[in-house]
This record gives sequence, C-alpha cells and structure tokens, in this order.
Amino acid sequence: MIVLQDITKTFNEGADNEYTAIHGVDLKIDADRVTVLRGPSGSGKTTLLTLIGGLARPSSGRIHVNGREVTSLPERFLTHMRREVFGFVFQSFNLIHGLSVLENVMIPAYPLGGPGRELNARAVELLETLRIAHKAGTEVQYLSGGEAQRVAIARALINDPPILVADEPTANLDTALSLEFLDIVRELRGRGKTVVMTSHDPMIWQADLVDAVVAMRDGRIVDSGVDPGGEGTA
Amino acid sequence: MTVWLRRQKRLIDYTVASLLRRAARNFALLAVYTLIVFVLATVMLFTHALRQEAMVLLDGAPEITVQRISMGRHDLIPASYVDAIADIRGARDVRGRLWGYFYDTANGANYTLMVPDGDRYGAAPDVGETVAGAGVARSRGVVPGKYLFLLSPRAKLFKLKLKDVLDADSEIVTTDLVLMAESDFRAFFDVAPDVHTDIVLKVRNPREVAKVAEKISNALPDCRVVTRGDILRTYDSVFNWREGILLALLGGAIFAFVIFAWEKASGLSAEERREIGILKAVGWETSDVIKMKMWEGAVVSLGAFLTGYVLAYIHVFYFSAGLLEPVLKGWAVLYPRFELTPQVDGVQVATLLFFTVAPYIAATLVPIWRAAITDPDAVMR
Repeated sequence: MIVLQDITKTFNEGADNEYTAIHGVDLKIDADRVTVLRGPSGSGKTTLLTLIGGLARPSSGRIHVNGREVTSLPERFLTHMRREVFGFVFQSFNLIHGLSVLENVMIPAYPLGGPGRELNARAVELLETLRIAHKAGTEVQYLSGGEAQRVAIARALINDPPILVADEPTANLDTALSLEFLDIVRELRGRGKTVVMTSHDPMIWQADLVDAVVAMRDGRIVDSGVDPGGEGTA
Repeated sequence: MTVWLRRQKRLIDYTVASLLRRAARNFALLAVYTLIVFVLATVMLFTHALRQEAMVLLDGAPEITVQRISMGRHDLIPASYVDAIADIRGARDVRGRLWGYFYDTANGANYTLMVPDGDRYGAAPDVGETVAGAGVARSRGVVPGKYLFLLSPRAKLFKLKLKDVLDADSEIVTTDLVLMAESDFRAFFDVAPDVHTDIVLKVRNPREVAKVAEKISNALPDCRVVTRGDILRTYDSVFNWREGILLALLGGAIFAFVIFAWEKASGLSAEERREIGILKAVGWETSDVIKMKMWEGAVVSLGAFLTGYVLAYIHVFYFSAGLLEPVLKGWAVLYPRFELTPQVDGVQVATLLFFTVAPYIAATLVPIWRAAITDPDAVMR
C-alpha cells in the first residue's frame, strides 16, 4: 500500500517563479490494484506520480510505501526503491537512443550485477511476452510508438518490481495500441502487480480493469476514487 | 564472477556502447587528444634520449681538456705542453689526443677520425686497419673484412681494412667515428709528429678540478681549458633551450586543446542530461552514473595517451623523429645519421600522464557529478 499524507510540491522555492504544483494531497493506493490519476493538463497528476515513484521529493508531507516512510530516506535507499520496488513507463518512453531494444530493457538490472546469461534470458522472455522479441537487436529510435511503449514496459518490469508506475501511457498511441496496452495491464494485474498511472484518456480510466480513479485539478484531489474503501482511498 | 566484478563489467559494456553511440564526436576528440600527447611525448622522449646520449658521452669524457687557441680558433697543440701540464700538481694521466673531422663528399657526411687512447675504444687498430661507427659502416656499405676508402685533404686515397664496427650502445657518440693508427692519422691529415689535436688529463682529487684548470690556464695562457662540468652545462642548456622553444610553440596548441577538452567535458548536452536522468530513474545510483562516466573519460584519455605515447616512441626511436628533427637535433642533423637508443623515463611518463589524463577526467566528472546528484525528475525536465 502507498499512503500520501499532506503532500505539497513547490518548484523554484524562494524564487520569483515559485510555483506550487501539489497542495496538501492525502491519498491511499491499495496494493494489487489498478489506480488511475486523471485530470486536465497542469492538474499535477504527473508531478504526483513522480513523488509516488521517488523520482522527486515532496516539499512537505510524507509518503509511506508498504509501511515504510520514504520521503526522508537517503538518496541511496530511494534509488534502491526505484530499482526494485517501482518500474516506470514514461509518457515519452525515455528509451536511450543508439542502444538496442535488448540493451534498453536490461539497463535497470546492470547495477544489480546478476549473471549475464540469466539477465539476457529474462529480458528476452519479457520481450516475448510483450511480443516484441523479434526487434531485440533493433536500435530503439527505429521503433514505432507501440513498439517503443512495449520496450518501455519490458524495461520497467526487468527487475520484477511489485509496483508499475506509468505516466500517460497511451498519450502517443492510437486506439488499437491503447487497447493492447490495457491488455498488458490486465495481465500484470492478474500477476499481482500494483499499477498506478496517469491519464486524461477516458478509454483508460473508464476501462473495466481499473479499480480506482482519482480526479485531480489545480494540484488538488477533487474526487478520491470509486473504491468503496472510504474517503481518500483510491 | 563476483557481483562487484559483474557490475563493473556491465558499466564498462555500457560505457563502450555509449562511446560508440557518439562515435564521430569521440573519434574527433580522440584524434586531437592523441596528436597533442604524440607531440608532447615526442619532445620529451627525444630530449631525454639526447640527454642520456650526452651523459654516456660525458661518462667517457676526460676531466679536463686543453686546447690551444690561435687567433680565436682551435689550433694544434705542441707535444711539449704535455710535459708542462704533467708538472702541475694534481694532474695525472696527461696525454695528447689526435682527432679531426673529415667531410666525406661521396656521402655528404661528416666523420670523426680519431686515434684511440686505449681507454674508451680500446687499443688503436694496426696500421692499415680501422674500426668504424655504425653510421659510417651503413653509409659506406662496408662490413668487417672489407675496405674503407677515404680521400685525404691532400687528395691521397687511403685504403683501410674494416676490422670491426663499434658497439651501438650509444650511437650519437660512435656513429661517425673512424678509429685508426697514429701513423695513418698523421699521414692522412699531414700532421707533424710533435703536435696533437688537444691534451686531456685526469685530476687526482676530483674536488680540485677547478683549481687544476686554473693552474693550467695560468701556465699556458694561449690555451683554453674545458672541464667536464663545462661540457655538461653546455649540453644541458642546448637541450633545455631546444625543448623550451618547442614547448613554447606547442603552448598555444595545448591551450587550445585544454579549452576544447574542457568545453567538451564540462558542457553536458541536453541529451546527456536526459540520459543521466533516465539512468537514475530506472535505478542507477549516483555512483554508478559517475563510475560509468569515469570509465568513459578513462577510455578516451588513456586511449589517447597510450596511442599518442606509443606513436611518439615509434616516431622517435624508429623514424628518428623525422617530423621534429630539424628543431630538436639542430646541428646534430648531419650525416651519417644516428639512431637514438630507446630510453623511457618513468617520471616523465608519469608527469605527462598526470598533465594530460587527470585534468580531462576531472573536467568530465564535475558536471556529471552535479547532474547525477540532482533528482532524476529535475534532470529530465
């Protein structure tokens, strides 16, 4: 379970262009479920997602992941969480150009120093699951949007994290590929993964596999979800 | 393989892939870097080798050399001066030498004809025989057992049988030597039997060299007295001067390279910042990113250093530093050619390594460190 308590995020603190993107957000995200943060552009959903995933630290407030308070953890432990607890799929995929599909997928596992053969086999298996193994040797800049997204998902799952975090995963995809993505999410959910994603695409947050939808506006939660677990619980 | 080793291997693998992704830029940097190391190492290797040659030369040089000066020029010295010097307290092993230069028009080469005194090059060859330096043998194409023909200044042809070729432990000393018997020498240059080219001597107490030299100067006012220390200082200043001139000329190029390297190393492109952000976002530690970039800097700088140094070594010792020869050798660019004896000074290598590799790696790491300690989210924005 992920718990956010009174989270605020302010950029450029103390400067003329100081800007508060998140205002005192409280939220609970249950494990093994699919949660969607929705809202218009500038509503703060991506910023909140980066805070949940430990890509940035909140200006105030606390975040607990599986019972552990993570906001005050040293950078080293946050890195450990990004590597082994969270898997990220970015809106623009953020694959590293010039490297092959296989290399991109294996990058998060490099610092773990596991045996090369096992790592390679795991990466190929993931690519096969996501039906992109035939492109293993292709440099990622030559992939289509849908292919790049599947590579990004494979990269996010290479260390078998329990939580998948995805930012606007279908923003660059057409309807068919968006449906394909939902199939992948369904499969992950079936394997017991927690999925948290942002989207302003109704096809995503209206999908039957989504357990909770959190609506945001102007850095605040305006609707805390459809989950019957109670207020503030997604 | 341990986890640590596997991590390093992965980091290096990634580094290599990263270098190859920006192959054109890195190759250009490597080429310029290599060129700078090559030129610097050439100057250092060359001047060091020349100094070593000079040291070998000086090892066998007499403590004091006395030359007669006539109208400001070196003249033959009467044999009677030998006795006069031998009478000076502190002087020992006083003897006259016979040596002279011979310009070989056939090869355009300068030879040094000499009668060995039994110390450095052993006993004099028999009459009609010679022992020559490697350069002479090469330029004349003679081997032991064959004859060396020399045309004397009085246009008389001398035929000397080559008995042996001098050991090339220091070619600059021996390359142009032609050793011969005293009677052959006097006949060749038409030198009277009661004169020598100069007089050399040793001093009983090495601390008395200056004093003995002063006594000789006083006793023989028409003579110039040269000590081994004088020669050493002359060599040093000549080589330092040449090295200094070249390094000063190179200064501009080195400065330009430093700016280029700093610019390349310190200015992280948006793409590189994004890459660092991605790596941190997917779980690389700050130290992993820094290590990876350190490997990258090490591959470029050490690669350039090793390539440049090896090329300089080959250039100096196998191609006689052909590109810089006129500046570095100066008057020594005379025939017969000599090959420098390969010499590598560990301190010089370390100095060059420190001044070329360390600044580059440092310039690479500082901006990387600054980017790597930032939240990945901020780096990617």
